Amino acid sequence: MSFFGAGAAGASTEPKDAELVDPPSDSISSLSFSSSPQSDYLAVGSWDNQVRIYEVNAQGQSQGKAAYAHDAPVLDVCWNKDGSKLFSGGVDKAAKMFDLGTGASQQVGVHDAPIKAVRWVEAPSGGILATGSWDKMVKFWDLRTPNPVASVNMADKVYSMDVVYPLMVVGTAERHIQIINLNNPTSIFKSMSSPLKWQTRVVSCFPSATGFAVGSVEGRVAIQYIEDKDSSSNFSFKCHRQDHNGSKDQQAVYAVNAITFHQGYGTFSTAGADGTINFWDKDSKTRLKTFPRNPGPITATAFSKTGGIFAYAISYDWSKGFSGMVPSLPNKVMLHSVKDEDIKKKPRK
Amino acid sequence: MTTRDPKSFEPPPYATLFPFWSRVMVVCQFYLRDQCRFGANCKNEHPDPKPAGFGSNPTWGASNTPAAPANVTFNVESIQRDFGPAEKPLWPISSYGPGKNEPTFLTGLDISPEEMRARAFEAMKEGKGAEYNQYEAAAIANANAQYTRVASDVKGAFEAAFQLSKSASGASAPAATAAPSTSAFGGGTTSGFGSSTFGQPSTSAFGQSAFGQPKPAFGASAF
Repeated sequence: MSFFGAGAAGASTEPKDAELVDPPSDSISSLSFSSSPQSDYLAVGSWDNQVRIYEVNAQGQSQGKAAYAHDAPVLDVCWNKDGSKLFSGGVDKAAKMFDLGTGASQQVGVHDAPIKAVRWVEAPSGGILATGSWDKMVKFWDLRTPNPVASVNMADKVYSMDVVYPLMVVGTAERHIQIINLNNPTSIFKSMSSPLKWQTRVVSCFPSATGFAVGSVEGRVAIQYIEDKDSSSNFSFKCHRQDHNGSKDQQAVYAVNAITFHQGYGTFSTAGADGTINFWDKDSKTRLKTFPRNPGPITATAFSKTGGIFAYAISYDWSKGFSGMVPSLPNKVMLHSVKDEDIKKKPRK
Repeated sequence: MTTRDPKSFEPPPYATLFPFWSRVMVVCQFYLRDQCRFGANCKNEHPDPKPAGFGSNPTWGASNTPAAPANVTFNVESIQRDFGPAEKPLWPISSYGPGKNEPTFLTGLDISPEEMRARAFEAMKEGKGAEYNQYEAAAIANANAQYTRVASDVKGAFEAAFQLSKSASGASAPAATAAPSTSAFGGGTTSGFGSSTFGQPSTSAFGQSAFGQPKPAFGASAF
């Protein structure tokens, strides 16, 4: 099977991906695997206001374990380091914490506008929840007091945020990208305009914390290193575009909705509004795998902690506005068993 | 929906006069034209008073400076391609910058799919689906008017974007853009992260060199 080139037809030789049981009843906004050593738990945030937690295994079997609700659609979910607590944020402007042991959920943070991103920060002095919002703020919560322990004014509405300690990258509206060194979390370490030309959709940090990937609405991803001395390694590439009429003079340029890194290899996935998913190696600048096109946009992706399972959500991403909300669109989370040869790095040419 | 003369959509003055980082709120484009239906409930800024000179500024096509494309990663052709059928994104409500790390040239346009959907969610709760549809259509039409302006005068757009790029790279270091932030601990640079914040982390992604003076622009490699 060819790993390079467009749309390798692997569907007939590969086992089909497994469907998560009892998925949400509306679009999936976010996926996050926990890192508990006992089992893989997958948290799913949805536009049906619910956060659902499933136990999944490498054979693709799944079972619902718990659920709790926000008062409005959920936009992001994340686990703490030992997988004992799950955090969520959404359109109700609230950040909630769910305790897996007690089954209780409580509000732990609030903003003046919907919370678009939540991330756990495992600082040496203790764990902190970071939240990013359309109110143009990033706030940090110690979960013990109702007020944030720190707040940062961002350049514009927070669209995406990712943390690999001590690196925090925030992508906002109007193409601002801001970097925070979590050793000094109340100041902006570096601000820049996006390396891409159109609206930022997603930012995702390298597991090495030496840089990050940016995805935009223009079917393009940029790889960006933090240190100026590595800036010659920065590059961008086109993806998630479909030819029109068989020619490259006209393209359907889809948004990149999700980018997630494989913790072990530092390779990464991209997923788009066109329903396709790719695995990439940024160091050899190669595409490692193309998934068969799915019957709907991909709205979220996640690797399990050991990288053996890749989860992806097929659901409507509002990329065509209200009129694109048709009943035939699925709301599914798929579990893909990751083959090592599909995700490991390729030698540089 | 009534048709509008695209020329009536004058770009907001700050698109050409101010560096991008002086904008701290998204100004409601509909309010500037006395067309905002959300009034006091609008989530965008209704500046009071309205920015002086709005509608009477020279159009950004009227620059007299001849194009001198050195030191920028874009040109007339690249801008033309960006708005053409091979490059223009399907998502119709997006800000735009002409090149890698270039300041945002078409400002005030960014609405993400999730923001639109959240707005629809709120509207549905109140039975105001029709108002949402009008809002969505107006936002798309407003953005399209901006894109049409660029596409119909690419040379003028290039000249204005070039001036913006020049003024952005000549301005103060990016670190100055951060508005003062608050910490519950007050006083100096302490943060909620405790004393370890001040220690040298063992494996820092940032290293010694990263705390030096940030350079104002990244390497100008071709996009």
